[in-house]
Amino acid sequence: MALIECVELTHVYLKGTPMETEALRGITLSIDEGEFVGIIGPTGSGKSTLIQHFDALLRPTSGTVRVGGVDIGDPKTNLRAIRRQVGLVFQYPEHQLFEETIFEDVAFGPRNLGLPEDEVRQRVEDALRAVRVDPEKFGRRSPFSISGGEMRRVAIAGVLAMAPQVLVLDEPAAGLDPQGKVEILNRIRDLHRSRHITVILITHSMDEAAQLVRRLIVLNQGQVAMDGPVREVFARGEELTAMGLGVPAITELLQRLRRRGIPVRADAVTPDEAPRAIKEALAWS
Amino acid sequence: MTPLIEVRNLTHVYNAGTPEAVTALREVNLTIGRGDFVAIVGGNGSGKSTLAKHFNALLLPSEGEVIVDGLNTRDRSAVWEIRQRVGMVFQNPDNQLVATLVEEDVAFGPENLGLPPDEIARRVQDTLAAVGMLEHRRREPHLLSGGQKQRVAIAGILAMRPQCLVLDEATTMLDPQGQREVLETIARLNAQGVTVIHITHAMEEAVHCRRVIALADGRIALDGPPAEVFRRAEDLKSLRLVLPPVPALAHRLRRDGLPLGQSILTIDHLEDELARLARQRLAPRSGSGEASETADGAH
Amino acid sequence: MELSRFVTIGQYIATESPVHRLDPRTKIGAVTLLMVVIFLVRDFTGYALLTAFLFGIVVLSRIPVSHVLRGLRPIVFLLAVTLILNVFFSGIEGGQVLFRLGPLVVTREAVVRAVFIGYRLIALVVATSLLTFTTSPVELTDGIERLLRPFRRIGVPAHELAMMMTIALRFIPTLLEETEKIIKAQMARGAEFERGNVFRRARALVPVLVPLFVSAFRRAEELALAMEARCYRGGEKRTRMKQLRFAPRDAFAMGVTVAASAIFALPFETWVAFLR
Repeated sequence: MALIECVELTHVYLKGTPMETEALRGITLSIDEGEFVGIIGPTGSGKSTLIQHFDALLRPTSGTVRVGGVDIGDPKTNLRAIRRQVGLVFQYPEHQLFEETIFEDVAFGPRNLGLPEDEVRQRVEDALRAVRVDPEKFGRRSPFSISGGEMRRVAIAGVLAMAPQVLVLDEPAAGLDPQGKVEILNRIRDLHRSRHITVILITHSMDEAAQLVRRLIVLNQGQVAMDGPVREVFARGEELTAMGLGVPAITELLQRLRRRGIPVRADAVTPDEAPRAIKEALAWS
Repeated sequence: MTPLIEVRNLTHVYNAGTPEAVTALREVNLTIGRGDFVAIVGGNGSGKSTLAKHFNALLLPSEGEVIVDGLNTRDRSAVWEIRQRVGMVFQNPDNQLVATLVEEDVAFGPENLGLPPDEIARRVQDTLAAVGMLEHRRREPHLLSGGQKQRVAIAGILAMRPQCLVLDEATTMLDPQGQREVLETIARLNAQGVTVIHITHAMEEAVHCRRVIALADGRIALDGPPAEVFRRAEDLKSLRLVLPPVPALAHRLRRDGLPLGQSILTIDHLEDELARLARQRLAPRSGSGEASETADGAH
Repeated sequence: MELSRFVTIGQYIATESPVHRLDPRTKIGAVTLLMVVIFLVRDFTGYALLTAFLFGIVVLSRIPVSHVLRGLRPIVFLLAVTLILNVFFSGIEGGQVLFRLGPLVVTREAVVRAVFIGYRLIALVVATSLLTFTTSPVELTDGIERLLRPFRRIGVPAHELAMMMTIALRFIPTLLEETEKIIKAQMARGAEFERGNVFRRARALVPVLVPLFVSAFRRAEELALAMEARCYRGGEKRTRMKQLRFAPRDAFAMGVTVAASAIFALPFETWVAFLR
């Protein structure tokens, strides 16, 4: 059974006013347990609107969204149960920190779940370690006294402490410096690999997508424009460029080389695969 | 002609004299020429934003001095002249637009300079056209995209007719589309003679500048044309910086023994070099096999 | 985005009518005058004429009547309370008794007064919303700044007030958007805002208010820096791109309003006597 399933999902903002805008138009997709999915699309394509449905923060104007088989549009649905399953990390999540200490902030979610205090402590420490923030060293410090990259990781820990089955992140690396970006993305990859959390990642960066995810969903003007393995999506470079997205620089280079008749393997897309593919093509050992 | 900006032995300490004192810049010496296009790169905490804020007297040196167009930033009476000459665009597009209409916002700077109304209106018209935002002049800033907001901010600076435009991480919060818009705009302005200082941690944005200055720990670590700076991949890594994908790939292939030129920055260049190699290696061997010995064209 | 559905205060509607083209100072002056007149009118004739006048402006401004009436929705409750209190508890001794309801006596005079008070409330709201419907926030701020300018000598910070108003208007949509985002982010962490007693609900707002304040302070700091970088040093020596100019139409509009106000405010009999 699919973990998240959208059927003909449409969402209209400010319906019935002059400012009415249709953000999603008939989205049908399903995401299975254990997947690592990237969602990519130009600004205004509906990415953020879509993921807010996964957490029942928005309800469909029409169509259905099922999370773990439960219809979020059904008025009888327990939204807390949905939000326990799905952890949503918004853009710039460090802007939502509010507690006096890092420990208390991360504990906010588990306490809302009504967990006993020793379990809360367990979860907070576990979540902080997962993002490589030492609970002993940092737990009692103010979340406003640490660097931007650390604040971001603490904020993500705040969602992880809810122990969600699915982690949905809206541009987790936005605005960080290169090292900070690498750090965050590596942590997310670890979570997927070692804890088998299903990850859905919105990104603007094709390079990030190429390195991290296996499946890519491309949104354009509120519709699913493409949905498939990363390699297949990147093979449609011209369509992506027409949407203002383009393909990663390395993919573009390999495609150009192939067009020039240099036999580079077609399935190489990441910076790690590229050097070997090029050397093979040049018969260089 | 005197340089536009001259930084001499600049040290900056935040909260000097308190237990929280932090030294952000240490004895920086730097000269920026008129009409130049400079990228200042560095990771978080490298001091790049602190340095930028010295260029228009938003911060004053703890030690040393900063001379802008012959004016010392320590001279209180010269502050407004300096800020008119060196304009600054900030990181968050939402937090630097003051007015509720695009054209009113662009007028804000010239109004502060006390210019006559006709002149302000003319400048607003010209600069909005220069950044391609004229058609949006009657719109409210919060309805614009990030890239559009930053272009309005740039127009607001240009309307003060500065000699130098400093972008303090002005592309960091933008999506790729917005980044392109801003980068194209500043490249065009530089071609028209405006000195541009672009502060960023995205190394790929430094590729098209004429000069790259890498800061680390409050000091200048590298300074030179992009090709020269990017060649030092190992150094960059220790500076919390990451090579853009194309120069990184070129670097890796070169390390693995491929005879590629040292100064590969763009995808076009790497494509050409690899195609040249392929021709030599894959072409039917008709007695030109020794050509590969001279493949490293740059040397 | 959804929040803006509930915020309709001071909504400007660009219908480009002759009323829109008036100088904001004219409109502010005229509305102020009308507000005074609304309290001076004492008889039915005056109210009838005032209603006709306001209706005339609505037509001239091309704002849909339905939209003007919708602006009254927020005061319906206030209106109902005012009417009931004045009808039943007017405190007017004597007068013509219409009917009794237990211990309560309803007199003709009380009903008349309740209707007048209710009408004044409606007229006030219609007059002020006409101002905001036809004048953009920018013009309104400009108008206020310039009207207050002569009072600078006695310490009225005209420029500063106008600047504060501009910045507030500029950041209201940004902060609304931000509030919505923070609420959603905390809901995603299991926060609930609609459960429990008043105390619990107030406490539930802490995770929203703290980040909101932190962000507002950060924005204020960055904005101040950006303004300084753009040579802002207060109102002195500052010029403005837009100059407000009185046109003949402003003189005409003001003249009509003054004349109309005089007619409405004086009792009908006075006019009859005067004309004889």
